[in-house]
Amino acid sequence: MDFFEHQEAARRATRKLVFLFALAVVGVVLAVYAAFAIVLIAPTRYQGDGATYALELMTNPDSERQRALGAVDFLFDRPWWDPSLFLSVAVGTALVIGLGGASKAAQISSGGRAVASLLGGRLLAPNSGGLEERRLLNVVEEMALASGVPVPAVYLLAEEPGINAFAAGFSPADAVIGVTRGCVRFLSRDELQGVVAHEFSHILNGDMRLNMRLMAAVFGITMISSIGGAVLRLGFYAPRRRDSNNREGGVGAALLILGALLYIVGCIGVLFGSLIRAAISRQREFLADAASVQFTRNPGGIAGALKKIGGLAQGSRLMAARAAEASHFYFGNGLRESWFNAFATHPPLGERILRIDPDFDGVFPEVTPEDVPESRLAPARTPPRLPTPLNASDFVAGIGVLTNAQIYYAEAMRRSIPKPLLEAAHEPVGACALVFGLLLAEDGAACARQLQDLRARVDVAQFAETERLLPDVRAIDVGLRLPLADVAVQGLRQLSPDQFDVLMPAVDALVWGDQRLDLFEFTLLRLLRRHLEPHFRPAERPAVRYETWEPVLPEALLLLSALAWAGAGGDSGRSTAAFRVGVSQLEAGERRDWPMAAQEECCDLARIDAALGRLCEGSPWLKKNFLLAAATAVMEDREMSLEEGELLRAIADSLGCPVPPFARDEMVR
Amino acid sequence: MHYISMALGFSVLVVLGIIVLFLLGIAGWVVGTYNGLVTLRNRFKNAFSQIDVQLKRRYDLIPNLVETAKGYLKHERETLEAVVKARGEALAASQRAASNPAATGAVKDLVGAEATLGGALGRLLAVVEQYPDLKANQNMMQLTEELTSTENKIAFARQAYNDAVMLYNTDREKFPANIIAGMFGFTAAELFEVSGEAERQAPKVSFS
Repeated sequence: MDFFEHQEAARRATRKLVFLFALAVVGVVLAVYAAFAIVLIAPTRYQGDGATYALELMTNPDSERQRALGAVDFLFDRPWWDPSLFLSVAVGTALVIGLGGASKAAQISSGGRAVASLLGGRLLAPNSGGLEERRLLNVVEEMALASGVPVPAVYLLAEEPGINAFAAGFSPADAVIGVTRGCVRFLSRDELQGVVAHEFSHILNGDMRLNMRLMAAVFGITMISSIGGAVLRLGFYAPRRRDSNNREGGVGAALLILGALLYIVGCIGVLFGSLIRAAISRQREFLADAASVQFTRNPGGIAGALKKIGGLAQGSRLMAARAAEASHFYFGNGLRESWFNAFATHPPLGERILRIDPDFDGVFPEVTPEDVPESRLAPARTPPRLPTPLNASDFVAGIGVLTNAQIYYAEAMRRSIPKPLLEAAHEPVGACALVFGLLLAEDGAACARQLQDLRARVDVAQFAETERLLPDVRAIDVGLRLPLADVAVQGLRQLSPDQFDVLMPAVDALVWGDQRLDLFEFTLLRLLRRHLEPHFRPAERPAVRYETWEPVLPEALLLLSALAWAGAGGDSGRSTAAFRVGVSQLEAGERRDWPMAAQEECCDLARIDAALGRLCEGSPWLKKNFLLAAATAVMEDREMSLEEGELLRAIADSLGCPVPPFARDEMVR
Repeated sequence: MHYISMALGFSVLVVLGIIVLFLLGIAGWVVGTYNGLVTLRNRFKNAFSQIDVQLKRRYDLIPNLVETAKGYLKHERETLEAVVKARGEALAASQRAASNPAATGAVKDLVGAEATLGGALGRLLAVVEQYPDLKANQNMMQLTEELTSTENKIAFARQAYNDAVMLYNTDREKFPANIIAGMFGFTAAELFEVSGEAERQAPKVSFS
């Protein structure tokens, strides 16, 4: 399965979720109705003296209040099926489930960060921490560089002694990875890499988004049992005196029964919730295990980690009270092994290991803390020669796929970035300085002007750091400039929202200072917007709106024209040729003579942004088709320059399709 | 009769439903407010880590600075000792604050210790001014330069931290969130403010 098929599969799973959810709601409504029927209708049917009781009430002049209270069980022989009762129960239950789900959805709407803090995670500052934490951050950073997704924020669950991990978020741009204390203590670097690769597969395959929805939906369904608990307590404290003349106690008793019934019915909801979770999540865990092996080419890594879970007394169990809500996010089973397999969110440990390591004998190793020697923080492996995509379909096939060659390459790429720059990229002031440095003009006079402007805009710390780092920034290989910016995103996330609001205008001023926008500037601007805005502003999450080409064809044509112009360097003949081959790949009906947009139109950044925004709402199939056309247009002249490659990556990234970096042998040492 | 009681039964149900909805709304609001406060508290705690990183860097620089200056400043032992002592105290205060920035007094103690350290460093650098040999020492120049840049970064990180604290404090004081804040012990967070005097005394001199 390629990246786009995974996305489609995730969408299908979402539809399955909706279906199962609807089924569960119907089930719960029926169960709640049964509970109400037992309380309200059953007494009327089995109360033998119902008729005498009714007579007594009617003849008693003081019965107004009693009637109000007694009316519930006053009527006798009510039919089991009561439409008005059913209607109110259905509406009430649906409201409860809807409100519960909506409140949870609102709570986690700020993305992966919210889930991580819900689970008791502590954000690891990218520039702090002991060796263990440093190693974890390095592994995550390398994996992110290799796959082309922004480096996720890493949270440490410091209170959790077991071995477990999770990935959460709506999109790669707001994804976070959480890791337990046990994970960093007990796992070797290879095993850690296996676990992180498993989580990256969740990020790349669209599982995370599904998991977020699952969390809200299941929370809604299990809401009834929480309410049952509350009603139970209410009934417990309500007056319960009961003698022959006073039937007030009936309210308390009724509440008690109703509460208990709701609680039991709620457990049916919990059951449904677990079943839905298990149905959707288990298969995906196998897939992610397989992907981890595929990414790292090292079955020993993830198998070793799983075996250590088996060998550790704590296993992968979690201590946090909220763990159950998010059990489907985790790497290993976070709860006690269930008595019945159908409810487990994760396949049995032994089965998972056997699928990766068929020789597994079922004996778990004894687990001792790993000591982290300094030298193992970054292994010095010789970078392999990466095949550069030769044609457009290779390019499309490489989207969202990781190979161990790419991971080694990313390791080497990271090592090739001079240490002062790498350190600067991990802290906020330095990261700002790097971005400014990358955008400053080479030309002395222009650069001086830009610096003057910058001095007035930014903090003294940022400005001093920019001047200090500028020579180093200028000296790095052009191919390392964007990877450096990718790393710097981590430092920039440490800014406060106010500081971010100062940064972006300063960046814009640097980009537009010379009244023109070159490809590198465009790509960098895109990268910053895509990877930082979801962190600082309430993010909008593109839903799939377009399944066919008609509504978004103008956008696709504009973008293809822009790509064609960008690659041709002002030569209108070459750009037209590039546009034509690109368009020929679009599966948008018979017509092929679509008009090409003029160069001026393509320079309008606002229009390009809007076009990318609309195309982002296309189905995975549309995106795949568009990227194929885009890559064909770019490679029309049978070569892809570094700038063209980076531009293509930026556009794919804007559509939510992460592309691994292209190899350049002279770039890494 | 039959219809009257059915209507009554129905109205009891409706009342019950409204009560349940009302309780649900309250519960939802409590949970939402609580979670919002937790998120904001986590955010300012996270923001503290950047201050902490830079403070640590500065505490690491100071022994080198003292070591370099020692050879030249034979008659300024007191000044040097004051710096070393203030550094030790600030280091201890920073470790306390880093373990939980939300603890009462933790940040305030650190601010106090930092002010003392800043004063001691300012006096040391003023003394250094009187020793041209030391001032021209390559190592000394590099160290003071690095000290200045670290100071600047601390100020920047402090700004980010204070932004986060302000956000948290405003939210927790607003009505009706303040009821929740009071019930669950969300105490006011302390700003990391450096008093005007200490700020002036902080080594802003550059030797370039």
